[in-house]
Amino acid sequence: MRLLTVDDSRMMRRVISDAAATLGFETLEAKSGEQAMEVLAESRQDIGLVLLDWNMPGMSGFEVLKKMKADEELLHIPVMMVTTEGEPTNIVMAIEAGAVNYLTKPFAQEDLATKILESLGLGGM
Amino acid sequence: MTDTETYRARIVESLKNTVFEVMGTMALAEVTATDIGESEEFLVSGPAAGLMLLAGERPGMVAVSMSESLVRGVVAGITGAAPESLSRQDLLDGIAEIVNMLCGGMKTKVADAGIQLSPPLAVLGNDCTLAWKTDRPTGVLTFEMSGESFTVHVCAL
Repeated sequence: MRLLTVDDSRMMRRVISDAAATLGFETLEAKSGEQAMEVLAESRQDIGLVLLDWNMPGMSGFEVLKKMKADEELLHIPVMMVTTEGEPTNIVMAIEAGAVNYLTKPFAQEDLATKILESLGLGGM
Repeated sequence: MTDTETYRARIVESLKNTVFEVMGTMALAEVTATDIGESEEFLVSGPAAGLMLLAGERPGMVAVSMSESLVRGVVAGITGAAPESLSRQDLLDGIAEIVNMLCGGMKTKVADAGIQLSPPLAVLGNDCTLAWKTDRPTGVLTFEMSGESFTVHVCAL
C-alpha cells in the first residue's frame, strides 16, 4: 500500500513523504489537483491514503476531495487534509465532504505520524 | 483606538504568534521577537523574500524576508536535508511555503476578518528591494533566530 501526498510545495511533499517512510509506507507525489487525479486514475488500487493540501494553483484540494467522493472507484480511499486552512468552517466542510482527518500547518512531525496512522485505522482516534 | 487600528494590532499580534509556531514547530528553531515597529513605506529587501497579497474585505500585503543562509537553515530544519544540498528551487519553494504558513495561521486567528490569500510569491536575489505601493502604514516585525535577524512586513488596510 502506498500513500499519495498532494501539495504544490516540494518542501511539504518531502516532509510528508519522509514521515510516511519512517512509518514504513512508500509515497507517490502530486504537485497539483490535476496531477493527483491522474495518479489516482493510474494507481488507485495501490493507494491507501491521500494527504491533500487545500490551496494549490488550479484544482484545489477541496475540489479533489469532492471529485474523489463522487467517483465510485475512488470514494473508498481515505483522505486526510494537510493545510494552512485552520478555520473551523473549513474543517467542518472537509469532514462533511468525506475527509477522515485534518491536520493544519504548521505541524509537529509526531502529530503528522499519528494522524497518518489514525487515518489508516492503525491508531487510536 | 479606531476599528482599523484595533484590526491592525490584531493582525500584527497574530503574525507574531504564527512566526513562533511555524519556526518552533516545523523548523524546531528558537525565535525571539526583537522589535515591532512601523514604517511609512512597504519596502522589503531580500535576498530571500516571500510575499502574499491579502484580498477580500480587508486587503493588504504580508512579506517575510531573510538572508539566504537563514532560509537555507530553516528549510534544512524543516526537511532534515543538509543545508548545502538545497537547490535554488528548494529555497524559493521554502520561502514561499513559509509565508504561506505565516499567512494561513494569521488568517485563522482573525477568521472574522474575511481575509482571502493569494498564492505566494517568492524572490531570491542579492541587492533586491521590493516595494508595494500603499498610503497606509506598514508594520515591521523583527525576529532573531540562529544569530541572524529576519523581518515580517504587514500592511493591512
